[in-house]
Amino acid sequence: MTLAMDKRRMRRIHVAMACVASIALLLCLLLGWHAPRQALLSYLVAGIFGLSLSLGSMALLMVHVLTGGAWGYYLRPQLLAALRPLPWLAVLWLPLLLGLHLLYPWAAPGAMADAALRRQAWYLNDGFFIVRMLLCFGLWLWLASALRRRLDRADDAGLSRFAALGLIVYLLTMTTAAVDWVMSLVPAWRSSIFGLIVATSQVLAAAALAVLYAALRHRRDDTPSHPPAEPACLLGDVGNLMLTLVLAWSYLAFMDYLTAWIGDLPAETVWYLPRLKTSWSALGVALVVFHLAVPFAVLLSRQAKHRAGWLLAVAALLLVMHYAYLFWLVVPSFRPGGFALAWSDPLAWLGIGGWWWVVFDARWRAVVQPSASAARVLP
Amino acid sequence: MTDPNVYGCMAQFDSAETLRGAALQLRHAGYTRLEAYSPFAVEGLAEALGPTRSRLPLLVLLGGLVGGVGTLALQYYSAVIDYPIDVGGRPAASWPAFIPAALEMTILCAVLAGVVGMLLGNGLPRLYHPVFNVPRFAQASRDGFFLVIRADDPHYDSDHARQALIDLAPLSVDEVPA
Amino acid sequence: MTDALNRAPLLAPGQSLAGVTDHVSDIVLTRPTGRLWLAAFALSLALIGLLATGIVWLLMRGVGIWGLNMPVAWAFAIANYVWWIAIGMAGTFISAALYLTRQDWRSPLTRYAETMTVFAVSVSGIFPILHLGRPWFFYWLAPYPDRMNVWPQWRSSLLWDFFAIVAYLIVSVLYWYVSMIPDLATLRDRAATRGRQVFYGLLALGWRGEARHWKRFETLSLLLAALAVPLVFSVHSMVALDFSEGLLPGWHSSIFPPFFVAGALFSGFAMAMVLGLPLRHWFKLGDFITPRHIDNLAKMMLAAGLFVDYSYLMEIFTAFYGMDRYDVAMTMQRFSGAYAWVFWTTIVCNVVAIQALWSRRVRASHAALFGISVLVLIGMWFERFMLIVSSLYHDFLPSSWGMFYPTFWDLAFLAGSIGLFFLLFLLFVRVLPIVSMSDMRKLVHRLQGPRP
Repeated sequence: MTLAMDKRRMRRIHVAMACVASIALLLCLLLGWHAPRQALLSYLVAGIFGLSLSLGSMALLMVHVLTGGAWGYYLRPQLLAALRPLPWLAVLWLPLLLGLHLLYPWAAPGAMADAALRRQAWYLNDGFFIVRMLLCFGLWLWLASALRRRLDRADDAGLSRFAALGLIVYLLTMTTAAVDWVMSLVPAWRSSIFGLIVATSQVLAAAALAVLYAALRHRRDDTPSHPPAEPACLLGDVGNLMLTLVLAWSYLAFMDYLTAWIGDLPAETVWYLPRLKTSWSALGVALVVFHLAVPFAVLLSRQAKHRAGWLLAVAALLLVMHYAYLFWLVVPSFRPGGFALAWSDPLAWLGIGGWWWVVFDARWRAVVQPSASAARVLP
Repeated sequence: MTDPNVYGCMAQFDSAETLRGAALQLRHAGYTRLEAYSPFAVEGLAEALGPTRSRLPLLVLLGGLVGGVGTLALQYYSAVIDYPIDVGGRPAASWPAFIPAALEMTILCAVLAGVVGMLLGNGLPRLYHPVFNVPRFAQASRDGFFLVIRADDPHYDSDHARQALIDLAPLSVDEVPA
Repeated sequence: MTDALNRAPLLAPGQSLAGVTDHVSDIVLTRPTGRLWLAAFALSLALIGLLATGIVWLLMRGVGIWGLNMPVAWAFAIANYVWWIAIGMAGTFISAALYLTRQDWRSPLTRYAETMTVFAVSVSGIFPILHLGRPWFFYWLAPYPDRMNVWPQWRSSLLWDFFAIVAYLIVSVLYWYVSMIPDLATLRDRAATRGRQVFYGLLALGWRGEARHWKRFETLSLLLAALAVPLVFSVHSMVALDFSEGLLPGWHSSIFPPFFVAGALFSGFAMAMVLGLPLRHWFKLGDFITPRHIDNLAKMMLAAGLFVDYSYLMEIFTAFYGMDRYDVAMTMQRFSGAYAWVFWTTIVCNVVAIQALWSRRVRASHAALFGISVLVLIGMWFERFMLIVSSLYHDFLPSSWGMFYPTFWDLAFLAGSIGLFFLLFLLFVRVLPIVSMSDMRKLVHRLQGPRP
């Protein structure tokens, strides 16, 4: 298979995917006439999923600037490519603004009749919400482009300071976004750890995607004519990175749950009850098993960590479970009857996820392929 | 054939690399009861002496499982079976609340298993050992690299062993009294 | 990192296996006891006298000798406990987390950092036990079959904390001791007097550095490090849950566990700096603990500090976001109530002072680093005091509000615990190797590469 043929085939796949994604988004829009609230929910979950991969990659790039290590150079092409869809996501976010009053109880007409919502209105009001959203996207777009520019430069003296400040900006904006877009869906609920959990899960998802691509490439290159590009210990390193992030996410999520469980206060149980006392609890169990137990058990094993196949499977599982986790964070409060899927759920995921993938994959191939042999040499 | 008063023959080398090379050569020459001593962990040295297999990770895993599952079982037994008591309306089997103590005991028991396993595997504590009879051996904990052919090696022969060591160009060769 | 400093050597040039071994072991074996050491020892001993008197007096009279009363039933003792156990966390973290991430600059720092852990955890344990009221029954906390048919209350975070302290104390002592065995063997082999040979010989357990022993030792080091990092997180999370399991405004907050862990590392890095800079100066360890080590330690302190600041922000934000009247009232009390000065001291030390660490010039000035680290230690003590007291003295009902005033004995216990910690540390530098010689030898070997 020659490189040119491969390129042409990939372009066809990209175009097909873009068509499918666009059709899915159109169908989503049609469903939006019929059941606007559920369609917006699906759209929100899918949008945050795409955002997770981009912003998590940005955070991971900045972490690597500060810590160094071979793993970061190994994952860098994927992480850099994942920054590309960010401007598109900003555009895709606009429909949510139109549906603000449908989605958020505090923006619904008549919300001010509720005394509790009136007290929170200094923060939860349309104008301030939009300002914060614009500020978050503005900062993210600026951070992403500045980071890309600075990483391209050979020697940048201020890079580590930029990365340190960038991580602070990331954590603060991501906390704001998590509170605004997810926590305020249930205004009576509050959890001071929430921004941190969301940020950690994003970094995990981004790492999983980068490892998935690295493992794919490792397997493709692993033919007699192409000896494995990277030593097995590098695979072990990125495996350990995922293991650490899995444990970090589990730790933070469990601490939130334990605090709520033991305190039994309305401000916390209001969020957990629809998730645990209905058939949604099955999704919770699935998260514990597939977002913690299975990846943990596999990544604990040295043998599994050093095999591209195992890493590929775990990374794919973690990506799927990240979507399930975002679903868990957003949806159950609005479908309190129990586990239920809407038609718009898969369509929104396919629409936003499809576009995200096309932009990401095209960019990644453009970076990786022309210098297939040179890219193997680690800087 | 072997003198019960002799533990083996010891040679000192000047670096980790020469020690590892010497160990490999002796092993190719057929010696199987070799010991190498170094002032720090030298990569690949243990492998040069013969096949190694570590059961320590498994032991640590088992220790952790025993600690964790044991603590969960103890909590369940005491809080549900032996003396159930209603505290603030919490269920008798308060699983979320059982996890913290079980987690601590998992780590504690895993560490205990690992430390005990390392010491037993290494045959420590053992305050007396024949190699200490060689005065030069005190360097082993500073900058000395030593190789010992044990007298219980099937190939061992006092003169041959000494000659084999001398052929490796060591700094010195000593007989180790048992 | 692209700083020129980070390309600086990890080790001064011209080091050899014998050189590092002799330098470190001579500190213990041949260096005469200095006058400064004796003065510090005497001072620590005097403080311990105060502590011992306090303990005897407390056993005779009860915890009432402290300024505690309802509603402020926790104060200095718990603040001291949290402060000390937190300082311990960083030692394990420096040693274990940097080992796992293969940061080979860690080697010269591990031993004294682990020692700091062991002593800080030991000192911290005094406070919760004495606070029990009838400390001689402390073993009732452990689940054991007894005639009274009493089981511990498994749903209580205080019990989780008991398990956490016990596990952490045992693990940190083992972690410290096991990594020291090869060094004890070195001291055994280099000791000149019979008494020392026997002393170090017994402690070294007959270690002789056989290749297969080293292999098991290395495997165990890796496993212990991998277990120690989650232990650090879990132990200090249990400390945090002591508060966040309670329902008081200002205590019940889900960010407490990671917030406390970061606070622990923050104060622990500060203590590692406060101990490390003088050690480096007095024992001429500048060849091992290079400016690069100090710079990295300062950066880690800044990172932990910034996370602590994020947690302060989230707590305040969450109170005003939810607009729960008790949360808001408590937060306003912190800003402007009777203990506002404690809050603002905390902010000055933990938020404002550490921003100086962004500057490379400050990180290069060891006097400035020492000063900032002391401020951080003070700030972190005040933070615990603020968290504990500001939530207790104004709870839900105005009729049950009340102030806390420390007594002489409150201060005596704090001073005495500092004395005990430093006494143990002073003994350590005279008796045990303050730098891991076997790790340093490995580092020398790796940096110099294979010899021809």
